[in-house]
Amino acid sequence: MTSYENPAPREGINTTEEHPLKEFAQLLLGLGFIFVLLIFLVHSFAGVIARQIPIEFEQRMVADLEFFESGDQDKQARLQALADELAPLMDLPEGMKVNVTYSEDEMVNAFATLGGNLVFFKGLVDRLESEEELAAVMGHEIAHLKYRHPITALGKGVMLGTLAAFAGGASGSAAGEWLIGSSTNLSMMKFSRDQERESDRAAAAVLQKRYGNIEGAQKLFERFSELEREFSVSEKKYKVVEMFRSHPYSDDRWAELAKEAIAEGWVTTGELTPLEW
Amino acid sequence: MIEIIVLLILLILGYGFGSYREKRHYQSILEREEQLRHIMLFESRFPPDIKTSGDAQLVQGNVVISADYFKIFVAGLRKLVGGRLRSYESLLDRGRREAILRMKEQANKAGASKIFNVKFETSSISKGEQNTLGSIEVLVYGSALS
Repeated sequence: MTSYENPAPREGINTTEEHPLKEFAQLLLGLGFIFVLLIFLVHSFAGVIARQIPIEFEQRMVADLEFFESGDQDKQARLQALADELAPLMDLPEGMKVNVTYSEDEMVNAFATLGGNLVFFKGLVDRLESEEELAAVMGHEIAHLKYRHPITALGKGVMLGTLAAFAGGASGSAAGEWLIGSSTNLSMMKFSRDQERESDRAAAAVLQKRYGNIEGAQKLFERFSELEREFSVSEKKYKVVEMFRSHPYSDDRWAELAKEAIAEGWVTTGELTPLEW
Repeated sequence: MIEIIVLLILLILGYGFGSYREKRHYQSILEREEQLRHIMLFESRFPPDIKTSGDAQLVQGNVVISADYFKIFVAGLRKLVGGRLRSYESLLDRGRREAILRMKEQANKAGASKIFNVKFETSSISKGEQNTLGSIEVLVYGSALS
């Protein structure tokens, strides 16, 4: 006859006595640091990597895409002519061809995108009164192409998206996505403020080269400042002010250019040529 | 911003209720384990070599238990780097021990003093579903003898 006993096993073998908040804090801080580092690396090197992508490849990516329906052909041709005049002065990377689309949309905006494409909206074009102002916008958008900002933004978006998918997918919960989500949304296909400033400088440089002064830029930012004030309170015109959300304040942009002008010897005042369509 | 606030509230609620209940549950488990210690478990397929009455009866204990938001969040972070999923370990530990206790209570009512051929089954009842809190079922069963 065998005899059996039933002693109580020691606690804390199958579970841990460690405080759950300790693990939580360690994981959150550790992973947070790694993700911040990765995001920082993506932001720092996306431009370097993007510039290695052949322009031809970029053009093929969007060859079948129509960004906006083109409107008035005459205006589009004149915008294209201005682009063709400024582009050779801007030292674009080899193979980059500027292609302007004019859209009848009322949005007060113009943007540069993949494959050397620029889109100008009626809402913006109608508000400009001189050729030099238009050239300031044009120079700014061409500068985005020159520095390859669109493909950089796309590259960043793809890399951060992959990172977010990894974090969200691997963890299968809100945890990973939350760690990275907010920073990803902000970076998708939007140019950074530094990129905008860089483009402003290049635009001013080409104005100086082409017109002998940067009055066009000054006038443009004055106009934008007025628009910012006019629209800042009205939520309904949200669509209209989209441009102002993605750019630094116009007053600041001009202040910076004015500083730059002294260093570079640019002339800040000059004659404006009225736009006649 | 609103998302972060919602997340924080969920985490605080999950942690608050979760850890309170876990503490209470462990207290109750330890107490009841002591009360039912006289009932012995054997995993052998045949009755142990001790004096028994000969009448065997099927007894079983069944538990369904859910993880809280905090546990799931921590586990989600843990899965990125690997390692012990501590937050789930205590959940499963509680599930198994609670199931045994329920089985023992059944055996106790039947006047049994030992259970042999004890077997466990564990399954996830939220398997594969996205955005749900993970819940597990633990079933333990065996043959009770007096």
